[in-house]
Amino acid sequence: MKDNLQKLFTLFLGAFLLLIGQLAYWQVIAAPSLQANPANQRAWELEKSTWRGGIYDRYGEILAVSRNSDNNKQLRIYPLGEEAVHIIGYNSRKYGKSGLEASYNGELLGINEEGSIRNLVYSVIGRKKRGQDLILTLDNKLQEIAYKALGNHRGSIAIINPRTGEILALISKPSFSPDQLGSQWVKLNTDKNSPLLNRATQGLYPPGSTLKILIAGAALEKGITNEKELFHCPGYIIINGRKLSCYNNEAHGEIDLSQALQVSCNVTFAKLGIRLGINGLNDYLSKMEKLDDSRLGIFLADSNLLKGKYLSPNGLAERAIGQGETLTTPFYMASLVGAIANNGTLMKPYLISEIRSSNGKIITKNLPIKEDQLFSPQVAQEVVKMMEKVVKVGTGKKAQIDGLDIAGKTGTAENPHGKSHAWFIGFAPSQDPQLAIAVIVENGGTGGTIAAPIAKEIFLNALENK
Amino acid sequence: MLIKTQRKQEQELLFRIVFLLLFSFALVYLSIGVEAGIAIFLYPLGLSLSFYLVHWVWEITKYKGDQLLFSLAACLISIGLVMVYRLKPELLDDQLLWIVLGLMVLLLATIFFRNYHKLEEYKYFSAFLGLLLLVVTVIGGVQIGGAKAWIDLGFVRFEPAEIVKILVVVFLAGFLREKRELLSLPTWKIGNYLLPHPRHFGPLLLMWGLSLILLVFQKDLGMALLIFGIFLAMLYVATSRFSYILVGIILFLFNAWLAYLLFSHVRVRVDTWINPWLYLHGKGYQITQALFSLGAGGIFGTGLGLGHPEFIPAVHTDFIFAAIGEELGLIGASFVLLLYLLLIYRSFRIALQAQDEFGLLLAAGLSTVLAWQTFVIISGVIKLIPLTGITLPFISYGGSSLMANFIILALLLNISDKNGRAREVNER
Repeated sequence: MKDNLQKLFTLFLGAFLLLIGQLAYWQVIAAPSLQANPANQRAWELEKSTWRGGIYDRYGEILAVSRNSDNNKQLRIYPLGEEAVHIIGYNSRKYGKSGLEASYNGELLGINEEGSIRNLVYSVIGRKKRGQDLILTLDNKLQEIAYKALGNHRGSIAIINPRTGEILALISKPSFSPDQLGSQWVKLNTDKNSPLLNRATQGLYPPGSTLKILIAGAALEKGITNEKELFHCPGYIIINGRKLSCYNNEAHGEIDLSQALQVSCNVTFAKLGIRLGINGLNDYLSKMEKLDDSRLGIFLADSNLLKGKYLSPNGLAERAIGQGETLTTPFYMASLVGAIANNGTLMKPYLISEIRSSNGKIITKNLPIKEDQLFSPQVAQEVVKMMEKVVKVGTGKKAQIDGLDIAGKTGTAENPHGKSHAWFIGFAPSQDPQLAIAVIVENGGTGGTIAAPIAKEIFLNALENK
Repeated sequence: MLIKTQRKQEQELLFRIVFLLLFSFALVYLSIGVEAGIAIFLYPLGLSLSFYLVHWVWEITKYKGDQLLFSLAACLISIGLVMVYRLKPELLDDQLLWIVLGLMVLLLATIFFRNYHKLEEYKYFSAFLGLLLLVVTVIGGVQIGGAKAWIDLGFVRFEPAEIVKILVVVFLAGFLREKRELLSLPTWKIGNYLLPHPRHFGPLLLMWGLSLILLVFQKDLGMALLIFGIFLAMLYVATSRFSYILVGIILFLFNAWLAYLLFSHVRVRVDTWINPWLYLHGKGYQITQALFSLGAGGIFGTGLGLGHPEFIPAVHTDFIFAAIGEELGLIGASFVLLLYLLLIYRSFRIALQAQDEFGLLLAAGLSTVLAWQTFVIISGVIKLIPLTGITLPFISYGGSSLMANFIILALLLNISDKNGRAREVNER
C-alpha cells in the first residue's frame, strides 16, 4: 500500500504543477489581452482613481486635459474640438477610445508608473494618481489654419517639418465633435462620408501626377535621362496597343523634363516609367514604403506602393503617372515631398515629441531620425527647381504668393468613385523649407484649381507671422 | 515569545505567522479599512493567541502530532482570514468565530480522542449517517447558489456534505481494511478475465450511488466529484488494482455524459468552460471576471487591497483563489499552492508512517480530501476543468467547510501522534 501512496502523491504533485502552469498562462501570457478586454471593468476603475494625463502641442497649448466637473467627476476637455479629433481621439466609457487617447491610454493613466513609490502611497491612502502627459509635435495654430483652409471640402491635409520629420498638422474632413458622441453616434457610424475615418493616415488614394516628382528624381538619379533630353508628346502614347493620353488629350510637342513636369505630361512620364522598369521604380518606392507608424501613435494604413512584382509596360506607365493600382495616404505624400525639400533626405515622421511623468520628468523624448536618403542632394535640388516652375508657370500657378518661393506639384487622380481627386503637394519657402504639405480634396476636380489655392492659403497664413 | 519547548519548529513557524498576520492586516487596513478603527488589529492578535494556546496545550500534554502540518494549516487559515477581511469585512466576526470554534474542536479531539481506532467500529454507522444526512438534505434542504446542499437549523445553516466527505473516508478506511484482500484477489471468472467476486462490490456501489444523489438531487457537482475521487483513490491505495480505477473512471465519464445531456446546470458549467467569452454578460460572467482578476494581478499582483476582486460574484467563498491571484500575483498564488502542496505532502507522510492499515487508509483518504478538493476548486477557478462549486480548504469563508477541515486536521494529527509515540518507543 505504501507504493500506492507514493504514486498517488506523485499524481497530485503533477496536478499541482499543472495548476501553476495554467496560472502562469493567465497571469503572464494572457494578461495583456485580459487587461485590454473591453468587458474588463478594471480599466474604468483605474480611470476613476487617476487624473488622466494631458495632451499638449509643441508650444504647450492644451489639446486635451481633464478637469473636475460639478459632481466631482473628471471631464475631458478638447479645446480644438473637431479640428483635431482624428489625432487626439476621444475617451468615452460608452463609445470607447480612439486616436492618441486609445493608443497612449497606458501612459495617460500612468499604468507603467504604477510601481512608483508616490503612486503606491497615493493608492494606499486613496488619493488620485496622476497619469503622464503627452507633448506632441503638432502646431495648434497651423492645425486651425489648415482646418479652415480646407473649407467644406471632403479631404485631408498633412503638414510636416521637412528638416525634422515633425508632424505639424493633420486634417481630415468631414469631422465630428468629441463632445457630442452621444447624440451623433449612430449617424457617425452610418454616414457614407465616414467622418470617423482619419483620412490623413488612413485615407487611401491614387497619388496621380504628384508621384511624378519621384519619377523625375528617380530618372535623373539613375541617369536614364538628363535635363537636356527632349521628349515628343503628340497628346497620347500607344503602348502594346493601348492608348494613354495627356489631360484633355493636349499635345505638348517637344519638351524637356522640367517642362514635362510643369504641364504634367503623361506621355513623357509613361516613357520614363518604362525606362526605369519595375526594379528602378521599386528602388525608390520601397524607401517610401518603409515609413511606418512606430513614432505616430495613430493608425497608419499600408500604402501599396510596391504592389505587383512584375508589371507589363502598360502597368509601368500607369504606375509612373500615379494611376492604376497604386494607392497612398496624404501622410505619405507629405513625407515624400518633405524628402525632396530636405536635400533628398527622408526624415522619419513623428507625432509624439515627449512623454512626461506627472511631476514633469521626461520619460521619453523623440529626436529627429533620418529614415533614408531618397535622392542625392544634387538631384533633389534639380527636382526643387522644376517644382518651383510648376508653381511659377505650370499647373500649380494658383498656389503662387508674391515674395515667397513655393515648390509644388499638382495631381488629378482618376478614381472609380466619380470626379477626380484634386491633389497638391509642395513646400515653402522653396530654398529654406519650413513646411511640407500634401492637400487632397476628394472628388474635387483638378489639383491646380481646387487643391493649389488651399495650399496657398495655408502658406500665406502660416508663414506671414514668421 | 520563544520559550524552550519540545515543539520548537511549530513555535518558530507560529511566531512568523503572527508577523504575516499583523503585516497583511495593516496593508488591508490602510487601503480599505481605516474608518473601522485600530480595533481591527484585535482580530489578528486574537487569532495568533488562539494558535499559541493550541501550541501550549500540546506542549503540556506532550502531544506528538506533526508540527509542520499544524503550522501550514495555521498559515493557510491566516491567509484566509486576511482575504475575508479584504473581501467581506462584515464577515470577519463570523470567520474568526468559526476558526476559534474549529481550534477548540481540534484541541478537544487531540486531547480526548487520540485513539482514532474507535472509529473503525463505527464504519457502517458512518455510512448510514452519511446517507441519512444526504437524504435529509434532499428532502428538507435549502438551495443556495445553485446547489440544494444546505440545512437550515434556524440559528445556523450548515452544509451536511462537508461532514459526509469525512464519514465517507471513515467508512472506506474501515471497509477496505477489512475487505482489501478479498477485493485484491480475483476469484470470479468472466471469459478470460478474473475479477473479484461481485458480492464484495455492494458497499462500493453504495458510494457510487452516494455521489449520484449529490449530483442529481442536490445539483452539487463539486461534492459529487470530490466523493468520487476519494472513493477511487482509496480503492486504489487499498487494492493496487488499476482495473478498478479504470472501471471507475469509465463509470464517472458515463455519469458525466448523462448529466450533461440531462441537466441544464451541468451544461452551463461545461459550456462556460469550453468558451466563457461567448457568455461574457450571462452565464460566463463569474468565470470571465475571475480570469480578468488573474490577468490584472500579473506576476507581482496589485498588492493587498489594491485590486478589484469584488467584481467576481462569490469571491469570498469558491472564488477566493482568484482574489489571491489578483492581489498577490502569480508569485503569491504559487506560494499558496506550494503551502497546500507541503500540507498534502506532510499528510501523505503521516499515512506512510502509519502504524496500522486503518490509520494508513484513514490518513490516505483525508490527504486525498485536502489534495483533491484544493485541486478541483482551483482548477475550476482558473478554467483548467469545468467549474464545480466547492470551497478552498482553510481559506474560503464558511463555517461548515472550516469545521470539516479542522476535523480532518485533528484526525491526521492524531494518527501522526501515534506514529510519533511508536517511533519514541523504538528509539528507546
